Amino acid sequence: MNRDEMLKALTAMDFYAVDMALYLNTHPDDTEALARYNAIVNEANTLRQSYEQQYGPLYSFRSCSAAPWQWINDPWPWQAQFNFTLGGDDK
Amino acid sequence: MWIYEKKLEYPIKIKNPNPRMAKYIISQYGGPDGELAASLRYLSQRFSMVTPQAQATLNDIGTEELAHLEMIGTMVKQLTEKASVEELERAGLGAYFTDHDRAVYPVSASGTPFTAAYLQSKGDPITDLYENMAAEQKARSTYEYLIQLADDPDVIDPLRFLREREVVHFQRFGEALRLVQDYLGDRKRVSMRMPDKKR
Amino acid sequence: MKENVGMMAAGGTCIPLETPIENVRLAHAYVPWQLLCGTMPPIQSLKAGTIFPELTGHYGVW
Repeated sequence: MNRDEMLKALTAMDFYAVDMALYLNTHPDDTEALARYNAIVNEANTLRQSYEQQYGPLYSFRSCSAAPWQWINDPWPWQAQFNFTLGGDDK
Repeated sequence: MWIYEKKLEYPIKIKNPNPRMAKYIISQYGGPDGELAASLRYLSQRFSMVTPQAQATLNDIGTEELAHLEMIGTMVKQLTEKASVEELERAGLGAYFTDHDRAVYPVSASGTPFTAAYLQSKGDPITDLYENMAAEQKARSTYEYLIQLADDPDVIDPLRFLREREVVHFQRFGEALRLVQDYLGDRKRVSMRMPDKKR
Repeated sequence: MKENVGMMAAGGTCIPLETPIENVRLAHAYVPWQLLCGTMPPIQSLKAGTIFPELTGHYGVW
């Protein structure tokens, strides 16, 4: 996967986890939901590790960095060139 | 505490400058029904909320709203950064430019600076949850108005995402309300606390 | 609390919410309890703004 494809997959998986976590906050006993959440988190973390290895840290004070300190590098998320093209609705 | 992840919750890649839309979209940054008001509202209310489920809901939705605040700021920046001063002025951003250049500053679409008067943290958990449900509906309506004003898919797609998040948040606050109503109902209390005299 | 599984009707259709809402009181509002049926895959969910199909299409379609 190139950077855009990796970032797209990671963004989507992390979003799945966010939405499922909000559901779990009000449905803590839903074991089916919990299983799906844990599966996605594991998959996302594996991809996250790959992404960080190739493209640099996603977190300050949590991720390792090569020298010189990579955290400060462009692009930052608010810059257009940081972002991938998602495409429209799936119909 | 907060950890920042160096990516947006939803991608924003706007090719065409549009200061006119920036002037409207900034309302979801610093306006009455925007993401800053939402994050502060929920992150403040969580301190006095009851039940683990409702506390987690306020904590996590408040956190997600910060990610949305970031998206709105990003949209305003990308919509204005390549516009000339003449284009900004023609779009009605002359006064804003005077005070801020192309910086992002928390104001509403009509230029009113952000105020905590846009939010409430009442303390009564039921009252706070109704406040939040109303806030999510107001945000949803605002995104619908912005979607009507926009014509660029690079702008509309993130706005539609944010609109749908409001609907989901409304459902979660509604569920939190059910849990808190049951919890407070079970305790058979007429009021939330004893008057000071009797403590 | 409520059963946290989407209800299966005779034909195997999953209903993603409680029906009816019971034990209601005057001067109280009730949002129906959502129940898990299925979720959309991640990229489709990101485009839709939620993983839950039953939470899409409300309040007019945009």
